[in-house]
Amino acid sequence: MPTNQNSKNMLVVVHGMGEDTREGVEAEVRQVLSDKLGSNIEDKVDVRAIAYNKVFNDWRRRAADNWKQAVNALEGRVHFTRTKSFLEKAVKVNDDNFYATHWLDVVLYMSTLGVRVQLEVARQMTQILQEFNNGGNLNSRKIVLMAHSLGTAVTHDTLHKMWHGGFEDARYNNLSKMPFTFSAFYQLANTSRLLKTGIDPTSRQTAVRPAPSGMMELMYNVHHKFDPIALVKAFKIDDLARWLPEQNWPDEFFFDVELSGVHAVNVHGMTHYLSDPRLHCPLFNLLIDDYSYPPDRSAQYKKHDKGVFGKKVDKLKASIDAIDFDEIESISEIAEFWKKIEAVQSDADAKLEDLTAALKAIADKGDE
Amino acid sequence: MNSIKVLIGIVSLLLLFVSPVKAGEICESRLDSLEFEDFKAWIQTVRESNCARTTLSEYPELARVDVGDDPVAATSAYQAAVRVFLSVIGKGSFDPDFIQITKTMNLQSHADAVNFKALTFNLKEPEGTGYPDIERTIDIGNTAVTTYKTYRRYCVTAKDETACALWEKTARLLGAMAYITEDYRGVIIGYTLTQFQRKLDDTIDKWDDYFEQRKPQLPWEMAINQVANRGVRTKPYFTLPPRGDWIVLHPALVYSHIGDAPDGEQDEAALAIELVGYNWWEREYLSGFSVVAINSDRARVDDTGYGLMLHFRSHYSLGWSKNGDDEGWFVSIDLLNAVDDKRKQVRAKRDEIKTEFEAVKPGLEALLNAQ
Repeated sequence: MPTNQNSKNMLVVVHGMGEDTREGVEAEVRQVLSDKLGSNIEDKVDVRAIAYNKVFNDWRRRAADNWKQAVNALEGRVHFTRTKSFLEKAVKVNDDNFYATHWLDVVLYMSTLGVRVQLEVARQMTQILQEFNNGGNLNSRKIVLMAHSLGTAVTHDTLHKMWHGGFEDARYNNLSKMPFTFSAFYQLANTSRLLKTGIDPTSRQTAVRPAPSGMMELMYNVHHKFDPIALVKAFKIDDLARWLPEQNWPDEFFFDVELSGVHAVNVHGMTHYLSDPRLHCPLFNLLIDDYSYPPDRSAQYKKHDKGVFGKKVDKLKASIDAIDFDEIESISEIAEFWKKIEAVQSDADAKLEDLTAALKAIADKGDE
Repeated sequence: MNSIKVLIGIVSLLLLFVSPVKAGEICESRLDSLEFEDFKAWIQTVRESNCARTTLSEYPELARVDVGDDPVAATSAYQAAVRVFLSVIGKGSFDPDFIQITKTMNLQSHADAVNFKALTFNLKEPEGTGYPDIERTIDIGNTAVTTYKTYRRYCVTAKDETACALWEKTARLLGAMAYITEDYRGVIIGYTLTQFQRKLDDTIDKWDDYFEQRKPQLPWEMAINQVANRGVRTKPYFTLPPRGDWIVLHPALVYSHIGDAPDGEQDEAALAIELVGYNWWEREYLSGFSVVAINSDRARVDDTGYGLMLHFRSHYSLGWSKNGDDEGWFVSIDLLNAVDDKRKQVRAKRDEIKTEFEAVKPGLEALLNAQ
């Protein structure tokens, strides 16, 4: 095997909803991790991203053409005016930047198009794993997989099929026998239960568990106390010993990490998650061989937990507590709520007020 | 030349003396005296340093095998190496001290130790496959890791000296095992990923063909087909695209011909609504059918009629309709465009040949005249 002494450890990131390019995600992650590390992360870790947006974009382009053709066919007809107007609205929604790049992606992922998305992720992941393998030094190098938001659902489904299911016409062709494991799998704002299309990720049926003979050594589930996306149908392992019966000490392999520091209104953003020392310190410890935890680690954690909004966060917390997230079933409800959050990002004071109001509205709806 | 040989000899001797000392220091450092977070550095050092090599020197049968890029040879060598290591670690699993530890801690590892024995004895190449069972090797490896973790836990929590000694020995062996099997693993991983990638590319091509070739779908058709093809997205493996899709209330512009219509109104553009139908996107010729309602504006002919539409290659359609007592036929605009395109292509080719012929015509005439 070719061995390259300069091969570095690797961090592979799968993005969430939104218009992300591979280069954009890589730049974002490098930027925030370099800031937190105090030096260029690229010197120590190869940051690679997997992007699947092209699948959605191709679909949207094709769908818009088809729907416009149907609108043209109905043009000038006395009947079918409602149908025509519905199709025109559908084309508009498809063109609308916010819905198209956020919530439509979620809906589309849950359709048959989701399989094509998973195949795209599998293709890019296989290429990255080949590169990692070609870099040699497999014993001393580490590779960590990280997924965010919609990316957690996509990655869960893809990994299960890659390592366990195989292909419809070649079930044996999977990676279960490959002597390879990710050092860790980080799931940020985990939506894999909310957007479940097949196997329940919290059941023992899934291959995506830190079990012996599995594809990962460690699993981190990271959620933010104030991130509604991660709270609805949250990824929760109630009985860890039952979920990982193969491990004598399951708590050495699965870590549920709750973050609470609010440093931006978009608490759901990947950058906001990565900025938290409770996340990036253990991540650095895994990925950077000569890294040592900062001596004042606990103080740093506490300082970050306080956030930048001070007492206003208490109001937000009260609103969050009033919501019964298990009652929220509709993606459109979350979409509306999220749109409000995104809309108020520009103004720091107004945004917390609006966020609190939006959360209250959801809570009230739950009461009804 | 001789002096170079002597120099190399001296350097080799020096290395021989220097390295073991360093390795020895690292190898002999007590794990239980280290902080837990230093363990990462320790195991890293074991893997990369001569510690692995010195451990290996106790087992001459573990000499590295050059397997090239051959995945079968790599698998055999990998399995053989794992087996030797595990026979050593496995002895630890049957050690009375270890069994006592697992009993004290009420662990599953005791059961693992028994399984381990069964697995070790059953580890052989499945008949006729020519490819040893890697999965089982991995299972055994994991059992060994469990054993090692049992030692570690007991060493750290109970400060039991026997457990600490066993932990160190097992950790060193696992480090050495990782060291020797690295190349074999690389070959196996590369081969497995290549096989997987090929199948992945084939499946992706099929899906891209599906989205390219299937009949265009409107939002409600998508919703209906999501229900009809539910299994495609919920199955726990990479499925192939659906074989076909339902067509429901799909409007299309067609050219309709009704022979009995008044002159000048026989050929009209019409709106066809495919009420319900089905299309198999992969079929080369006749790919599907729909029941249609067709609407056009002609004098002395019913505006609305009903009929049957046949689809060819998913995009071209031909149909028959009945408006009251008047029968007619219609073609989809796509089909008309395709025919028109074909006609244009034929005309262009004809013009091309004509131009070429005009160019050679004088020469040809001259040749004929000369004869």
